[in-house]
Amino acid sequence: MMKRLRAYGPALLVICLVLAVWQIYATSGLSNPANLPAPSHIYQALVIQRAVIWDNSLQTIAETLIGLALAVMLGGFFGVIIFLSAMLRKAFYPLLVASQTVPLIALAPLLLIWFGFGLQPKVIMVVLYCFFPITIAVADGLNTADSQLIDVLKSMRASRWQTLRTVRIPAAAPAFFSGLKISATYAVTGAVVGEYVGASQGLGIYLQTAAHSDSINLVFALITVIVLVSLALVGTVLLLEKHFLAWRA
Amino acid sequence: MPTALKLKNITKVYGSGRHSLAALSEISLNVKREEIVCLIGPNGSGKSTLLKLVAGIEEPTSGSLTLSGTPGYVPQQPSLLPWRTVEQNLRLPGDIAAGGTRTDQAGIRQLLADFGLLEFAGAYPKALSGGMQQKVALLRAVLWNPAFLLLDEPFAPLDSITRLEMQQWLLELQRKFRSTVLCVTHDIREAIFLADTIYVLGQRPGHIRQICEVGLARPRQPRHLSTARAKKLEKDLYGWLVPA
Repeated sequence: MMKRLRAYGPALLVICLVLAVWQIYATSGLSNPANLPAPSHIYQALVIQRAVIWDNSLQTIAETLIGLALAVMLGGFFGVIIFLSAMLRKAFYPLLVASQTVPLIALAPLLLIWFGFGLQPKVIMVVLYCFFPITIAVADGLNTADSQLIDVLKSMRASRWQTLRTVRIPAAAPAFFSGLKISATYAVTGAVVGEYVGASQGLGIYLQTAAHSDSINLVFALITVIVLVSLALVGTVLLLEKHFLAWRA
Repeated sequence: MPTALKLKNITKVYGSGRHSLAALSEISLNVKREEIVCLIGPNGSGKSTLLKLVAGIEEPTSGSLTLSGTPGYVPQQPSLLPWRTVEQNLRLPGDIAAGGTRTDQAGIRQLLADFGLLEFAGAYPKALSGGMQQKVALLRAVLWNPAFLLLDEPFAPLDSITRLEMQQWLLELQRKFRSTVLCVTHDIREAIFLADTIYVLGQRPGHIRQICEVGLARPRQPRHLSTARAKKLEKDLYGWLVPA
């Protein structure tokens, strides 16, 4: 208990302090409540709209999880391919880097035109946001395996596949989780941006509706939900990392 | 005793043309079965390269290498898979080559018990001391091939007391499995304590400068290092390795 308090206490204290200062400032009359609502009003909006927020959150969470899962598969695949073949690395690496220079917000309307208002364009947005950090993390991670471990496997006449499976992939796991943590922070943003451009349901489109109807309390409430969903996703990744990398403890 | 390893005119050159680097030149040596041979030499004399050639990790540029089977190889740093427990690390030889020796769980546990490591079976390498990790790495090499062990400065990172304990432990292991051992070391006293024969390598490109029969009694005890024979060997080896 004390250990957890020491770990999370400082952050919780800062959050409480910020909320307290914010509440005092917002209710003191110094700020316009139409621009900056008090945290208590944001909480009220959350409670009043909880059913609608929940339905839209489920949609965004589904898009995020499907997109992140696909990004993990694609990133893992490309990471291994890039590591295994110098020729494929030369062929794909510039394309992968170039793909990251395209502003993804500009791609969202195109995806909407190509794939419509359904799940697909949002999932693709999440994949585009997330797969690059995973690809690079996997490719670099596979390269970080200790050369002495590789030598031991070579001395046993292990095949390339055995070396990959026994040494390189487990050695890449810490790098993979670092990439996954970055991707997890991007994933919800990807889904929300995709929805913002055009969707029938989701936190992004709900946020846009709230902004257009000047419901500032609801806008802040939705931003809070987006942050909480992102934190929950990163927290899940941290738990998975702790479980799978128990040997590092 | 029949020959376990025969090297004839082994040369190893890295790279080609102007950027080539000769690591070994015309190395010939024989290792008899159940013999312990130590390779000693200054940095850059190609000791580790020679061991890697015998282990099959690298290919010689020229010369012939005759060896039956694939030896168990232990590099300088503890080379355990950090994500596997001690017991899982010892399963590695069985995972790589089905039908390897003593890879069943009962056999592994018995081996751990025989060498006082059973209580660490479920521990990850990070929880073990450097000496313990190297013991597990040696047992893994034995599980791969107990007949022939290749050791690349296996005790270099350890303190002097642990090193002496590990040297005795290695000799016990070698006696139990009647292993042939080819061991690289920087330590003159370690070479005298362990070896039947010491090959002294000269600076790059590595070549054999001296071959020296140790001739101390077996089983080897620390007190053997205080004998006149050991003292003379130490002086001779020091003279060959550190020219006046």
